[in-house]
Amino acid sequence: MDPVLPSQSATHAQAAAQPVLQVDDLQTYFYTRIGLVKAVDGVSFSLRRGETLAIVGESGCGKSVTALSLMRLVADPPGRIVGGAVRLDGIDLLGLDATAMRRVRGKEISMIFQEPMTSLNPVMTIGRQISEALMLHGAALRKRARARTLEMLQLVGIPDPMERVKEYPHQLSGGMRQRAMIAMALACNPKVLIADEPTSALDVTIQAQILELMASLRHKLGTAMILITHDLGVVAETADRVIVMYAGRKVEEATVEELFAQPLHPYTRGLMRSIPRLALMRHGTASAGRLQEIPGTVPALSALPAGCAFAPRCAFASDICRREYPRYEEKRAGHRAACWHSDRLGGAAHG
Amino acid sequence: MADTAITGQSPGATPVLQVEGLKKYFPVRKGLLRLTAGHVYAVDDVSFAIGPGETFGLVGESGCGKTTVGRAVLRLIEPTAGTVRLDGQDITHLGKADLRPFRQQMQIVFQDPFSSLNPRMRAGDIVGEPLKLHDRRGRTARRERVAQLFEQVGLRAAQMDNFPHQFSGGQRQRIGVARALALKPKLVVADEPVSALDVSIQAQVINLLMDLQRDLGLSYLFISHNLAVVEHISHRIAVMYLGSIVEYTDKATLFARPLHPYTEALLAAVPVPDPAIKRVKRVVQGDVPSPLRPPPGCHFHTRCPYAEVRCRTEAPALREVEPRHFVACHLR
Repeated sequence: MDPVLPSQSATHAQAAAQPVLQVDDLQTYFYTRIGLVKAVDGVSFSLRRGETLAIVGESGCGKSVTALSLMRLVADPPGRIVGGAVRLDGIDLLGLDATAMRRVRGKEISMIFQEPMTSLNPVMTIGRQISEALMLHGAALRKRARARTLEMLQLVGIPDPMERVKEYPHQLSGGMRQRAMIAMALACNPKVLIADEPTSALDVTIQAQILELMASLRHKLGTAMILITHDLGVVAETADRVIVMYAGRKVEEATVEELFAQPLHPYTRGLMRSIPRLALMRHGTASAGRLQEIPGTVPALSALPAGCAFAPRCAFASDICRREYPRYEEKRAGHRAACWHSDRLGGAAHG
Repeated sequence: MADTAITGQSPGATPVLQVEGLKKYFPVRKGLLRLTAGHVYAVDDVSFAIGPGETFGLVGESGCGKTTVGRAVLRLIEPTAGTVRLDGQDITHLGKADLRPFRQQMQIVFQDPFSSLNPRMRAGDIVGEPLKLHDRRGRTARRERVAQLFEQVGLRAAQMDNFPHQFSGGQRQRIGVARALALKPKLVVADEPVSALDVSIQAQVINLLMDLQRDLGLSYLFISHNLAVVEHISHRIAVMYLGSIVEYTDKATLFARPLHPYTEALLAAVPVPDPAIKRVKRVVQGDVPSPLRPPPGCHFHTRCPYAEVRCRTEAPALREVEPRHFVACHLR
């Protein structure tokens, strides 16, 4: 290794500070019989190298469609990415043609899904599925691919990899299937890994195993990750930064510590207050009796109210909320939110 | 609230539900002649009692048999062995006709509000159907009662003529609750009633169930995999693993002083929604073994960090380790 010159180390530092993924004003719309559904409506964010960014929200908030848009996997029709840019190391993925995108997908940016049983091919052995990804991307020839597959299975903690490569998905347990999928997603050493509810279909003890595995892999490989989930517990334990989405838009963004200590959007605070917590999470205080509810339900994306989409369910809502969508702005250092009344939300999340 | 929990076990009061030695083995048939090749030991010797106005939580991971317990209690499936007493009456072997009056007193709320409501029936008819079968009141009286039930679960009576697809997930679960309440049951088996709902809606349904219990004196058998939800709503809790109860006590004790290694592992595995709390996690390794071939001795020994030689051969019995705290472990 050559000694690193000062100028070189400066450019290295610069490269490290540059986001690996930059999403600007992403808009993904669905053209359906009931009308235009703006599933993702102007979402922007950046992802740094080695960082874990969580996208949180309930069903229909647009978090999964955001992920599929980054992978260019939105079914067209009815869906279409109508605007924005997704830059992976400076290259706009939305501008690539189908062939060029296929070379990027699974190699530079890959994804793991919630239910490994439906996302693995049931009639192909685990080993073939992983080496297929490697061979397609020219990462390795057959023999080398096989060795790499075994190496990956070992890395994700699958016992007896020599035996397991010959097995089919149905022969593995849910946790082992999810490990196999992680091995496949990471086989080409991607820059960005998108994990869409990776542990939601698993039992808690298995979930803990997979989260532990993902944390250790992140430490070993330094892959940047977008974690999509509805589980605030998983967010608190894995993410560095968090984006909260509601009805197709970003409503809040902050570091994980800041967000849990002082949420600045009433929806975020409502979510945090509505989940029951184990005694050990409440610092031993007694159970609170009634849970705080968020009244009402998530509005249909095809019939969003004027103004702030959360206003009909919000205790702080005033006339301006019902008239005008709040600006998404920096409320505190590194903490952004879209709410007219953030200043009235003082106090901790679960006071 | 904690005091009512004790009533379930106090010697004077008759428990609403008493289950003793419940077993359910499902045969596994193979080959052309469908010969029985083995059994799935879904529930293997489970006993517990639920008092009036009490919520009894049954927790465990998928395949531990918690749902099978719920269904066997309601006689939706026939138990292989054991007795189920409702209000002191043995209902385990009652025939269809004799069972009918008891069916009114025990109802169920299902997990998935999307598949448990007939999409072709109006919401009001779904809620009114048990009344039609059991109550035999006239149409007008029935409609009145349904309207009352709608209000009780937080729906508007005007929504009675809508179809299930016109309701949101949370509202659909309210319809399921209203249907369960139609015959004024004493016992409601709630099988993962909030697991399919969004986080912001879960709290609404949990609060509804707790309010109804307070107002109507219902007893709940509350089945869930979510420890935080079970802790919030239950008075007493049993933890199941591979068909058996491994620990059984009131909720304060269970969460403050879990004694079974599996309970300990479950609690450690729940992700804490607070980045300020840093725990050293001890993640239990391995998978749940197949209930088709449960390991000999203590079923948990294959994953237990403390397992000794004895655990591999000898099955531990559920013992009262301290007053009203039952644990099935050799090491306690």
